[in-house]
Amino acid sequence: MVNDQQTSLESKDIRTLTINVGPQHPSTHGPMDIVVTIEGETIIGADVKLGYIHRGIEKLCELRNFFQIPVYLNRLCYVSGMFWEYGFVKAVEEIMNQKVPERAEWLRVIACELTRIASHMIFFASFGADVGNLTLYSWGIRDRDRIIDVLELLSGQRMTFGYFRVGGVRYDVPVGFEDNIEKSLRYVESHLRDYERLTVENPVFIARTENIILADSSKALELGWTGPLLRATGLKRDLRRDEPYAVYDTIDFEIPTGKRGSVLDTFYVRIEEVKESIKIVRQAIKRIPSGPFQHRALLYPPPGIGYAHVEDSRGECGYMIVSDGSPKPYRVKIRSPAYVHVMSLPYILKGLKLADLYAVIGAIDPCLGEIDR
Amino acid sequence: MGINNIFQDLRIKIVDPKKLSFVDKLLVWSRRNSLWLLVFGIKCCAIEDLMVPGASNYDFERFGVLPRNSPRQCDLMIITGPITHKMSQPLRTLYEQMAEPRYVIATGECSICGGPWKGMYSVLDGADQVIPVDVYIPGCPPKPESLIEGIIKLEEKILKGEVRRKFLPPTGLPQLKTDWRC
Amino acid sequence: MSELNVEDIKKILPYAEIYKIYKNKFYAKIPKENWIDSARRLKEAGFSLLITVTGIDRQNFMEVNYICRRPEGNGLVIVGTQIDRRDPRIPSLVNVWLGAHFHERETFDLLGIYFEGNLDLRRILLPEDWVGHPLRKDYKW
Repeated sequence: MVNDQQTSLESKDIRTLTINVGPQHPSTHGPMDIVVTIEGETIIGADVKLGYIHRGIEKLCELRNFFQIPVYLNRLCYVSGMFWEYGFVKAVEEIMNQKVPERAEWLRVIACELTRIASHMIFFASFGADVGNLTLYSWGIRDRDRIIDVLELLSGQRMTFGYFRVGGVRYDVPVGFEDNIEKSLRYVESHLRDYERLTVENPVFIARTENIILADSSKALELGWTGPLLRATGLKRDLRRDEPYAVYDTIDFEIPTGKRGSVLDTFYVRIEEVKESIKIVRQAIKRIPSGPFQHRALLYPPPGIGYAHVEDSRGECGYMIVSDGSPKPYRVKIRSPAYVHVMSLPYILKGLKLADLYAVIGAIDPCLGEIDR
Repeated sequence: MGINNIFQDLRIKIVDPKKLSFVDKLLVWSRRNSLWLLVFGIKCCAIEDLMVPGASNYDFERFGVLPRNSPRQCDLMIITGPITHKMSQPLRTLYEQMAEPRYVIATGECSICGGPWKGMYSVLDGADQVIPVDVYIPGCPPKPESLIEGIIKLEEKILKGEVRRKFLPPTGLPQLKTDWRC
Repeated sequence: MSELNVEDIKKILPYAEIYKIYKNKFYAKIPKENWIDSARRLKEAGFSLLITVTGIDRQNFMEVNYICRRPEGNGLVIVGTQIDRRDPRIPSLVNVWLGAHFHERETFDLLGIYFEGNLDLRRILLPEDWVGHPLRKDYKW
């Protein structure tokens, strides 16, 4: 026994240390376990353990009919629920070639972009808490609440909306909605300059995040990254522009990109995206036509296979739906962007310092509901 | 799913509110007013019932609820999501690491009874199958106001001097020292 | 960019049956032997972003799919092949896309498909001692 200990002391293993970050950890944004091996301060290996809130949504979808399912799906990603309803509804519409009235398309754009703002605000808040910037935390939540109030007016719920349905949306806008939106947007917009001053122009923040490089663009593509993280590496890829759905091809907006794929770049991309989303919502309110907000749809699609994608606030949210002509789907595959980002942690953490781990987790903004499904 | 039958649910009085000395009163009062909270977000309700009330709009620090990161420093655990089979063991461990007297609030349908996922292969029917729960707050997710109401309810319970416990039966796992008193 | 049609995909995958499922979205059914080859050809032809690797339990056989798209938009292919349901084995795509690794882990966990060549095929979402694969149609719990 003593001999064993002595040999292990002499061997190389003794200099490495294995640390469990999770399942309960303030920086993991949910029950997720990252087992990091460190040598000194440097991370030399990592393993991600997931599934602590695996609820079996894909199986559940096979047991429910097409009209019940969107209600479950907004619980997938609880900070951007609208996108996840939208993806499913869009896939079903593609299988059954369902037409959607134009007013509904614009309402969907408004709902999605407002959710994107709210989701990025949560990102600012949780990232601020991760890197020890608690001002950012309380500001993010404060501004998000204003957006959530608008979404509550629109759908009747604060987080789990249930707003989308096959063939349109569930409700039309309430009276005075435009003024409410404008008021909230102005409130958020007036604070964006403060965010910039506090983060991307703040020397302390820059020093903390600038030199943590997540990945370069070729590695990001190899790993299958999408969304703000891919854009932070310098590639101008956005499904709203590249593969336009709804009415995004008629809307004027920019796609912000970063330079090197550092944590600071992801932050910069998200702040700019909030500005673009505000721009999109303003255009949508101006251009929304009158008319019906939902069409009658069939109860269930004909047999077939469909794939629909939505540019979620984290990347590409995709649904592959196989229908066999019965009221229930035969198979629903949910493609989660954050799953890809979190599972590529072992590939990007090597060589970083342990203290940078929390900034990295904050930058990829995991949402455990969609990762574990 | 089996786990329910392992534990015995008990309700125990740790102090009798009628026979309180001055020190006891002080103790109960300070317990009520400094509920430190374990930051343990599971799912949806973590945003609505941990992050949002912690920020400036609702601010549950008014009630002495202060978020802490280590279970050793905490009195209050808010369960904010469904408990799966994989999660049940870490949850029980976290609960046992908290200092006595400890209280648990279950927010949202998922942690009360399984909610929308009830009956799925990996989900337990509520958090109270693993650990005892003092206050249930319904909603999917409950609004931050509901959480504040729940905390007020919990404070009333603390003044009554009651705690809920779940014991492993004596015939069960190797003898655990169930000395739960403070 | 102009819309893709079936002939464009046929040029890349000559051995496949191609169906158009929606605008710019295709389903390609390929023989099992061409699994790796099809991935290589698609990647060279510009479909370089792997969306996911998944499977469908068709009850009398198992279907394995991977989905890839052009990162600059304009084109998405779902590739599917049939394998034996009692012994579901298929070569792994890890050598083509690094990111295939974790999708394959998930598919192994939920459907029980073995990806030969993936060296780290463990359960990911369910506990390691879990019995059965829940997305199979005959899974009872």
